[in-house]
Amino acid sequence: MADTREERPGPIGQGAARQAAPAKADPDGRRWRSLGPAVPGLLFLAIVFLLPVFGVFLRGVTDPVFGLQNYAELLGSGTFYDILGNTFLVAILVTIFSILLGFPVAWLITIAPGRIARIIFAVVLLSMWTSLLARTYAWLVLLQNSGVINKMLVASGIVDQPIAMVNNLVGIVIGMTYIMIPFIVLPLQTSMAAIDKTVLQAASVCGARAPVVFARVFLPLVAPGLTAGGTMVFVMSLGYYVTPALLGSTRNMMLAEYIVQQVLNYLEWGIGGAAAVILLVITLAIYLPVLGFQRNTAST
Amino acid sequence: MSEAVQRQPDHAEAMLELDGVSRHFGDFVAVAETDLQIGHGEFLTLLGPSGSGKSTTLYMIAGFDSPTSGDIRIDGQSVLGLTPNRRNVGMVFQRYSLFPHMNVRENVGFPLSVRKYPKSDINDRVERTLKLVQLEEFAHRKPSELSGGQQQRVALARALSYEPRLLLMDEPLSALDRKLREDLQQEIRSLHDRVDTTIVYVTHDQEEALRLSDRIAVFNHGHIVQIGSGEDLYHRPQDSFVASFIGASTFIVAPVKGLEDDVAVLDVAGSEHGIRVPRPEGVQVKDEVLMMIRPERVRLCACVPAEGNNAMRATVREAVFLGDNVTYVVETRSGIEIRVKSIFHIDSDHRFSEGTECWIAWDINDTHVFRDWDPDDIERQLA
Amino acid sequence: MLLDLKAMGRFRYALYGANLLVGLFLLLPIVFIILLSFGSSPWLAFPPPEWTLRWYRQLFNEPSWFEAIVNSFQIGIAVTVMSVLLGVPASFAVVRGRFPGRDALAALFTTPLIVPLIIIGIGLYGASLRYGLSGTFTAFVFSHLVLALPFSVICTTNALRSFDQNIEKAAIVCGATRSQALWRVTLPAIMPGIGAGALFSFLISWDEVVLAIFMSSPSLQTLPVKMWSALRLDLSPVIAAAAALMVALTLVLLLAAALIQWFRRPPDTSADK
Repeated sequence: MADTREERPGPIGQGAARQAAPAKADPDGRRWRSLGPAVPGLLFLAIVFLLPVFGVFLRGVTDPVFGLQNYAELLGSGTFYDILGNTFLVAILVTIFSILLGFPVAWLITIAPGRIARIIFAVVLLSMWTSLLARTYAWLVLLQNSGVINKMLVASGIVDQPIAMVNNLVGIVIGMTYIMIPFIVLPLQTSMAAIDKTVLQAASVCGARAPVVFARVFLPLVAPGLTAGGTMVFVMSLGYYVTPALLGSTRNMMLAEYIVQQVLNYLEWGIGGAAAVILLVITLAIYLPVLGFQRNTAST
Repeated sequence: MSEAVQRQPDHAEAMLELDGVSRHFGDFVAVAETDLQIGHGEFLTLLGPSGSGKSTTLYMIAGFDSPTSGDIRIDGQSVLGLTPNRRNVGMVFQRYSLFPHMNVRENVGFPLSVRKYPKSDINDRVERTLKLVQLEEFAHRKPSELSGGQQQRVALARALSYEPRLLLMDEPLSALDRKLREDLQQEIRSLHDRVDTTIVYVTHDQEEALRLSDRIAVFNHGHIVQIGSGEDLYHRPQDSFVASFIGASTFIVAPVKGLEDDVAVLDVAGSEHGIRVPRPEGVQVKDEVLMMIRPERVRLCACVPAEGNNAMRATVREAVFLGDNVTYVVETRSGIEIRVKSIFHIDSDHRFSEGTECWIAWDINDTHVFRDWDPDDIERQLA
Repeated sequence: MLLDLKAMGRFRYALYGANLLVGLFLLLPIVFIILLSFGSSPWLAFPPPEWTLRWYRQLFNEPSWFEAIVNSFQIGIAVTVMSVLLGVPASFAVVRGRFPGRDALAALFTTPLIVPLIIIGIGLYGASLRYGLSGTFTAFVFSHLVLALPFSVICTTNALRSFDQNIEKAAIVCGATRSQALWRVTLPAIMPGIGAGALFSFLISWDEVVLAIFMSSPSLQTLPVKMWSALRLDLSPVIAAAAALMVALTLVLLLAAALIQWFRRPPDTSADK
């Protein structure tokens, strides 16, 4: 393990003497040397991550010939806009539902007595770290026309015929919401736990009823956590592959699946690369302002 | 140091009434059955150590807790069924509890906007209230941009902006440093004079209570042990707890060795004739009683004091110059330590030095006697 | 009152109810898949007519499945080891470094979490095709490492930041060299953070499917990839058994982590009463 500040084993006096000289003679060098330990990791990321990703973008403008024709083709294609529309629709729906479902969970974790809070938290954590594929597969089976849910719905008389819940938007939204709930709960719960209870009491004494306190004091104070979680979920949903591919159909194709299809099936690296850039640009366009805003308002 | 001017309740009926109010948590009695009446415009302090029930009582008045028994009436009407937001009281919290996402103006205007006052009205009232606490220039700042003292003034302004009939304050100054605390105590007093609201104030600081209040209710273990003005409590403590909690005291436990008309004579080692104290009711010879004397009532003499006073020989162990007084610790022949506070010795040529032999003397009527006491009361003064 | 359960009145039941529903929603699929893997119906009928272990037997006897499991393990361990070896020193640079651009470096290490996975996937796919690394063990490990390294860095950085550096200085004053202080004082103190990073690295690698799809070849598949390709064909219960296996692993690892935390908790120091 590279540790450039390491002393050679030896009498302490000798080591100290060796240390003193470079410090006085080469302050800048010392500063840069503190970068040393990160160099292997840095090199690794540069070679295995940055370069290949950059390569993708390069292909977008060089394959088959140099130029922006891939972008032109994509941005002029009706199919592409359909796909973008699908992707955004799913992302918005998933974000909304996971907030609706995750909010009460974060709330209860914050205010319930220790043991109950820990149990709920454990359930959320378990759900988050259990295999994505395993969980998506479970929904695939559950949502089938002949699956358990439909059987129960028909048997109880709520519907006459099985509802199509898989290979369509419903399946995708259910499956992805399921995956995303923990990502809302965690940051939201952190925000809620940081609220001083007496601030809410003060609002009550000032004359505000519970709904007013909720809307004008509680919500604004959890907004940072909510925004952080919501943004993360939205952006993750935009680029998601596995769940939509399994639970959706080609009618609901989302951007990630489109890119995979172009590259793996049609070997259209150019189109795939261009689409990837568009995806990345959208991702960054949403993330960066939110991150910057959060850092500016983190003065409390 | 100005004394709180005693204010008599103006109106015949009380502004705030606690009628047999108690709060139990299972077997634990946080507040025992309590009766309390507070008049219009009065400044009443609930004083006591942590866990004595004073904050619990305040929170029941505010509505954040329900009494186990009894009734709470404001202006003659029971408020027990009302949630805190409907009681129209103002409250200032220990940690200010300002809304961090709103600026000063929005904080102070919040209760007004919740009551749906018209916008121009809100602006007027906010301006007026900010002027009252001298924070007009800070209207646009957020709480995180204010100092502790400023934040507390905003909290005060927020509690006053809607002119509540009752103002509750829960140890609002305990988070501030000493100088700031004294400045704000002054502001609260002058505010009370100008605004004339009824105030219920909770603190564990007896000096603060003496400074601010018209009356003080002393709490211990969930009971109100004594209510009265600062003077009442200081000069006529009815209870050894009150005697030990307010002001400094020297306590001596001694048996009664003789009884005369209205005087009891206590057998205190080191005094040949015994210490003469006002005779408490129902006391017998050989009973042990607790005797208390305040340091500033004890005089240090070089020679034998005049007749009619209690007197003992002692040696000066410590002499500490504290600016406006000199505090001595003297030890009697039998080892009893007594604190003496003298304002006459602040010039060094008058001072008794350590090791000097002397006499201490005090008036019989300056001695307080208690037949019951808690060892903690004595401990508290030794600390 | 909003943050006080007792003062909420009847609204608290609404909160309980919502949580119960969401909790069931979160748990049900996991429980369901485990039950299904023991069911005898090849068409995933539920409730199953009989209980059986045959899908598990198939999982462990069929070479393609068994190899996939073994591959997943081996790759997971390799990824974990490398994640710690690269991530822990990087954390030191991020927390204690004094070079310009230090914040940018910290951000860089978290970038793989922001860039959509699919883009990383096709990038690595292209690179592995060009350099003939497609379907190799190295390719798998490296691609998983890209995702695991940020977690290692984040967890270790957090632990290092909360570590009071004065303790290290105290050790040096006692006579230790920088290196001794590092190995005998600092690293043991941040071990929970390093451990968390290692745990997450393994879980990420074990579960990773998107990159694996691009990296795999018929000769080298991880368990998720095998499940994925099996899923494209039909919904055989063997997949359920594989899924149950993956769930079991997560459970075991999280429980182990929780137990370790429990045993390491500081002794009750409420002696001052």
